Amino acid sequence: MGSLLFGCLLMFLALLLCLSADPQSPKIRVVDGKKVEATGVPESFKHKTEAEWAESLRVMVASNSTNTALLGTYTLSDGTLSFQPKYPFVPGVGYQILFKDGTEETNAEFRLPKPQHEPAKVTNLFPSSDQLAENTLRFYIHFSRPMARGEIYKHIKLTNDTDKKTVELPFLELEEELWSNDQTRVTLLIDPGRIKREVKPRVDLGPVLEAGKTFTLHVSKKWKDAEGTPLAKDYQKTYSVSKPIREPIDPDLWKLQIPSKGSRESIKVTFTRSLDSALAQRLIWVNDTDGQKLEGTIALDKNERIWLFTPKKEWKVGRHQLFIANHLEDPSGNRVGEPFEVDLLKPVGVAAREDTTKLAFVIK
Amino acid sequence: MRYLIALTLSAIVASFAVAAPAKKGTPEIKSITALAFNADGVLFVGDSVAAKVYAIETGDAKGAAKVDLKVEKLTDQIGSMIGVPADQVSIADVKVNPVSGTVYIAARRGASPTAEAVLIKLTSEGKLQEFGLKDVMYSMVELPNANNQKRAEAITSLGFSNGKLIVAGLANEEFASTLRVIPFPFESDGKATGVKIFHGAHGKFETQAPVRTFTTYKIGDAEHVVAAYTCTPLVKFPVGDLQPGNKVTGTTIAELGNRNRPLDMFVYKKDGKDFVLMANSARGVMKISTDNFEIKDGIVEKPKSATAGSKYETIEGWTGVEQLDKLSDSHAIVLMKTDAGYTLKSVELP
Repeated sequence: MGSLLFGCLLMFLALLLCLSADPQSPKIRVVDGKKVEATGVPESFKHKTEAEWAESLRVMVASNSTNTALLGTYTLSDGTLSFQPKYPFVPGVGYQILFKDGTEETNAEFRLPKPQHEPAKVTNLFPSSDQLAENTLRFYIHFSRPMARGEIYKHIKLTNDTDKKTVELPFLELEEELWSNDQTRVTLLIDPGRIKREVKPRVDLGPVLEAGKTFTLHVSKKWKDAEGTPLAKDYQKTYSVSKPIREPIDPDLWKLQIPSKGSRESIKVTFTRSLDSALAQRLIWVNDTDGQKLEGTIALDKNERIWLFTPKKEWKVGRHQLFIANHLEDPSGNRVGEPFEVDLLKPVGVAAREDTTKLAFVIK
Repeated sequence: MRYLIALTLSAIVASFAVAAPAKKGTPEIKSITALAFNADGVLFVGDSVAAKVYAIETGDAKGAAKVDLKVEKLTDQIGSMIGVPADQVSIADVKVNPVSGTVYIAARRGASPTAEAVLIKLTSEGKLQEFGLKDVMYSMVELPNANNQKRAEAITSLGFSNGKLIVAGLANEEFASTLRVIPFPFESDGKATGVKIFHGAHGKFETQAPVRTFTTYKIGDAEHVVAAYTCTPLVKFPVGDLQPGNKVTGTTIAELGNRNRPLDMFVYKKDGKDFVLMANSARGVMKISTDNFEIKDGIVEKPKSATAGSKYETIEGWTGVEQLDKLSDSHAIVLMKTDAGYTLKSVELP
């Protein structure tokens, strides 16, 4: 926090930075870190057009090789020519200011200080278990701060520790990248062409993860956060890989531990396998005796095998229902009543299925 | 051994969409991951962060494409306009307005969650100019889950066919993929068909199959989607079959090899024949013959080589192409990554 305040203070000091020393020529200053002004410009500027002002006062990105000026608007008032950039100046980026009046030129550079903060770190990696099914499809990496998007695949690596090699192109690389909107969580998918049976990439190259072997997912500390600061340290998690899970999720096999009436104890649901950490928190809920969705908090435990719901208010006596959206998935993409890979030789009523599965329980 | 790959699409009606009719205003676009034009020059903007698609009237209704365009150091130049170094500019898409021949570029300023989305157009004089969004005529359609902080859906590709906008995307949580078909103009009570897409392999297994990139193309008498899946091949399915409740079967028309990602594609005509031009991550730009696109059963023999199906050639010299679109009947516009940065240039269609 202290370093953040210091960073802000530095930024304020830059607000009224006077960048020209020559008392005869117009002075250039950066106001509030938001606009550039040339003070004391000649009277003749009153008769110039905005395009001519733009020729006289140019603000450019110092590190770029083209001399194109920033987009923005110009105003003249009381001998001060102001430039307001269309997009705000970015802390840490160097800008060059060029003021020209006839043959006279004034040059200056400025850089708004970057606010300082603690480097980001990986806070969670899901699946959290140290066991993975061979056909695992999805990982989530959680960070303590918003991260930079655009280069994620440079900073992650999967190694096959048993065979002592790095797995080539293990992930589905999407230019769009699968971030949460706050950029604190990124989703990685194992290349689905390497999971789906009878599909060419898998037929030619085999699966990415192999049962009986050990793999490590590495996150490089070179990965930068949204402000350009690298991670505090490298992160890695080692998994031993077991045989693929190809069966659908079956809520009828779940165990429910029912809380007592009048309490705010959690209802505990024990799954038969680890489920997807994000979906298990979004796609399972409880309806009360009146069929209304209960407010409360959800937590996962035991490597996403246990789901706990703590209601905001005390449990009422009567029949409640646990709702499960049928597009709930496990980390291998198996859904409720429908595996990731549907065996076409066995009929499945995909289109006719309900959207949800319900498990009733009674609070006594 | 018989090798049969068939694709099955089952269309499921999805509850959908808050749509707004066209009005004058300033759309608050939070991100741009995909662009498309319809034949009337309406620009569609896919905003993954806001979970919206905007339709913008560009007012750019006349003209003919210039075919001698070349902009070097594109990200440097755009960065200079929007106030960031070249390495903080990323180009999400490049598309040509077919009415005017003007090239539009979707750029992102920075890498943070609040990075601004910027639309740039390349004037016929070869000059870059910001396409201002202030007081434009626009309409928009909102995709489901627009207000969820963690769940988001990356819009990977947009296309337009027979009065319908087609939106391909991939969620960051569930794998169940959805192709959305939205009638245009967007209506206030607009309904869209969310179509879950499956990939059937060898008639044995069927899996959900998100579309990475696609184009539309008339095969026989019917408009088709020609698409690259995230898991493997180039496929086709009829646009008209993307109806609620339908079970649609599509077909694999080419296997384009492993360790490769298709990035972008379009259809063009050369010497009286149609071709698909496709940019790839590892296998360069492919010119794919559409001669076999009419086949019914797709690839039926197990391919002996790394690739199979429709014939293609790799275009020499077109290296590092990340985006491409048809510029005119004779030229394409391509975005190439070179040692000196990004170059946007027109090239003669191969």
